[in-house]
Amino acid sequence: MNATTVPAAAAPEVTLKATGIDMAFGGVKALDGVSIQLSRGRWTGLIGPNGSGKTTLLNVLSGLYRPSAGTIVLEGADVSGARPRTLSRRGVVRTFQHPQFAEGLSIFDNVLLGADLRRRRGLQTVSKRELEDRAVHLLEVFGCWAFAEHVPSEAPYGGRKLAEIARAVLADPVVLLLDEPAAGLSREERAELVDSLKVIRTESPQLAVCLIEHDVRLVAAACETMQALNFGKVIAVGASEDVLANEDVKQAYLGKSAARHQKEGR
Amino acid sequence: MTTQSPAETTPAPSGSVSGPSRFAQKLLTSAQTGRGSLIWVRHGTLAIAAIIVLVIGLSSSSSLRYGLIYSTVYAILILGNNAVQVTLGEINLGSVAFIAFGAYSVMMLANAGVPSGLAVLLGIVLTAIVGFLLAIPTSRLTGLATALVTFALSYSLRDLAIYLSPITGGEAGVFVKGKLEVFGLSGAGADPAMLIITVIAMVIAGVGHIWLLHRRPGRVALTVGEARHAATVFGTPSMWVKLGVWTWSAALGGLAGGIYAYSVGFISATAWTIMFAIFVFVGGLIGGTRSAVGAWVGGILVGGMPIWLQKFVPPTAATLVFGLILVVAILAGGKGIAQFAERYGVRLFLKIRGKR
Amino acid sequence: MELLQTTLFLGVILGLIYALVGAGFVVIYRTSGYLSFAQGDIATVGLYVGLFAYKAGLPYWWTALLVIVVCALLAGVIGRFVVIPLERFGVLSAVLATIGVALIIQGTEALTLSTGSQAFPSAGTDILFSIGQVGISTANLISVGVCILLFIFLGIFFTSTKIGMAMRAANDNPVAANHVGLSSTNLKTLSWVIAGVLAGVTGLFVAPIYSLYPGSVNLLLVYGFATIVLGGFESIAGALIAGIALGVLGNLVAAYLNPNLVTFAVYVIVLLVLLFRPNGLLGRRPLVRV
Repeated sequence: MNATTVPAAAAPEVTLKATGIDMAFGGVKALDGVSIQLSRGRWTGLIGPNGSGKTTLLNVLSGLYRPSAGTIVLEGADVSGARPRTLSRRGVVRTFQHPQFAEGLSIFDNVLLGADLRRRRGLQTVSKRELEDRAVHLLEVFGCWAFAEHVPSEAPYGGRKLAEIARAVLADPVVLLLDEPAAGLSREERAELVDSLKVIRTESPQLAVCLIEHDVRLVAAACETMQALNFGKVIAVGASEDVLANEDVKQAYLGKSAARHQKEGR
Repeated sequence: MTTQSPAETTPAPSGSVSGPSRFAQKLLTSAQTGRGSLIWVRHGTLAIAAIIVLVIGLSSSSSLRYGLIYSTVYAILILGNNAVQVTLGEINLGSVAFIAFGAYSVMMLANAGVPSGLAVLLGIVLTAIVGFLLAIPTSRLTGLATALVTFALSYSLRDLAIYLSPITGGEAGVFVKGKLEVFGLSGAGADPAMLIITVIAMVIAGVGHIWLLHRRPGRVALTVGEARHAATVFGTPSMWVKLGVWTWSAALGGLAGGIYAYSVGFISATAWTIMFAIFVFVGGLIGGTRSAVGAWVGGILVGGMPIWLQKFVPPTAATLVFGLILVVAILAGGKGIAQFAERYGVRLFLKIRGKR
Repeated sequence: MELLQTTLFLGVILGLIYALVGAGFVVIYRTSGYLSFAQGDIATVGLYVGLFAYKAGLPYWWTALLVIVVCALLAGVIGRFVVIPLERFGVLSAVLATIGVALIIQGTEALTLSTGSQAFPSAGTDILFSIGQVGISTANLISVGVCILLFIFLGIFFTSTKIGMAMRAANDNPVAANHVGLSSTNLKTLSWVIAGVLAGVTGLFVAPIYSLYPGSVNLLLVYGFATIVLGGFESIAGALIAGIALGVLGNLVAAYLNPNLVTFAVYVIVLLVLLFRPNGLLGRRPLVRV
């Protein structure tokens, strides 16, 4: 692992620390000794080419996969191998790359799933009314309010992805894991996404965020620190500018990404 | 739901810039999902359906009345059977097991001297418990597996009842003694009082269904059924939710069985056929899975139709008519009569409002 | 000892019938991904036509051929023009379509024919020889022989012929199907035709034993389901093994416990197997959510 460069200010409190995570599927090792640290108020980007293990790591951190080796410590408590139910109730909340909504519910009703989690977390009680108002607020600031009464299939794809984020934030998370929120979004939608991320930063300054993304500019703009994966291993960690300048990272990832960016004309 | 009153614009065809107003959109989505704003309208249509059934039933011959009672028993069973399909998206062919268990337990309790109202209540509880236990393995299955397992269960019921002949009376059957005395009424067979009792039971079940579906339980169950990974990572106790849905389904089956015991008055193992289970499932789909009135329509279709068709064609031809309706329903997109009616009604309503 | 012998032996014969029903399911499942509930009713149509011809003087073997041809054609038509077109509404709709077809056939039969059971000729009831106390009739021998041949044929067809392999692929990858020069639809229709043949053969074995009436072959549906649950939804060999196992098991339960517990035992077996082995005991592919 490369040396970590930390900003001059005092290191923020570590919220989630995963160490030495191995994840094997049959004979294939999707993650090999991966460690990651998410700190209060800090946004950590996670980049890497397709198949590098980003989403697998997210699945491990959210409890959907049980790692073959490694430990996860959340706010001082050992949660290695814990299931999603435990992790979510402790405040680890995630979004999905492909929006996971119930087609038989309106977007608004789907987003209320976040309120359910908020209630289950045993934090200071908040009334149903307040939670619903908060849901409305989040949908409005994320630009989803126009189709909140539609069923998911009738809402624009980008809007659904933003609604996913609204749902996650509604749960009042301690750790927020965002799985490629920009994937599939048009240029305008990406701009909306960036704005929405800024809102989250403002409204929840204590939130520890991990952002998986392919859009390098977006990640660099949103996150101060970054981690790069390739073939299930960490190849660089540190401040965003440093990671992006790292030769290994460029070779493994940016080269392909730049070519793709050119082809798509973005 | 939160209240929002943006300037209400005339509903415009979808695809245009302004689109329907928020209020209009809520109505349209409500018709589509079976939840949401139309909740009170649905109470209304349920009440209207009840009144229609009562008026027709109380003023007609006892055979027609009997047909309506039988249809409504079917409707209650369908309502429960639908719950699994609507929320969890699973094919549930196990309705025969629940109504049979309900009927037999009520019969045994009644013939042992337990007052009828209490017997039916206990029948519901016992069937719910059995449903809960059966659901523990069954709810772990998905798709085709659930269909096959519930099919096998319903298929085995008749033989099982025959095997347990000492308690169930087997094929020779057992008569249920006495009348059902509840809600201040006393009835059996095709009595007018029996019709009233059955209708009240269906209305109660229907209101229960509407509330469960429209409020949080329905929302959570739909999430578990249609977005299970999301449900999991947001901490939903999915297993318990599924068990809850199956238990509700069983409870309604028990209610249907209890009324069956007193209205049919005779329980024989020959009644528990796999066709019964298929009819219930299909009837629910045709009537509309999300709607209480839809379940009633389905019940009349599969429960009553065979009886009425008998005037024109041999009883077994009901199967033919049924199969044709089913194929037509699939061609029409398979949404069910109730949903079609609601969508059409909402569009009509919005059009009329728009013109004023 | 005699009881055990008879039970086991008759169980194997019955099991072969279950295996055939299962094979009919597997064939369609492999190409289209769902089960057809219409198999039993397709069989009865063929049987009724055959019975009509037999009573008019057609010799047994021609009757048998007629039954199979009618079933194959009917299945092909139903598949091609009713069920496969409805696949675009989803797998659930396709399954419901098969149920609808089954109901329509049953209803039509009930309307146009007498619903009482009628005797159906068999391949020959003379006892040829005995194993222990069990007499083996011509019909038994032919059943066993035909079944084995059919399974061998199916096995070779699906593993060694281009069309057979393309049929296995048609469900997963319509493009692969095109490589044999047949569209996915035509391959699926072919699978229905083959399933129809199997239904016809099954009917020929079942009708002499259980008599012919509109629901007679449907009795076997649940055993067919259990067979493929045990043997794997996509395995022909699995259907053979599981069918025989089920036949023997069922007969043992009937003989030593109670005949009325057989269907319940089937339920329990199906439930337990699906719980612990969602792909069937021998199967590999996960069940697609309907």
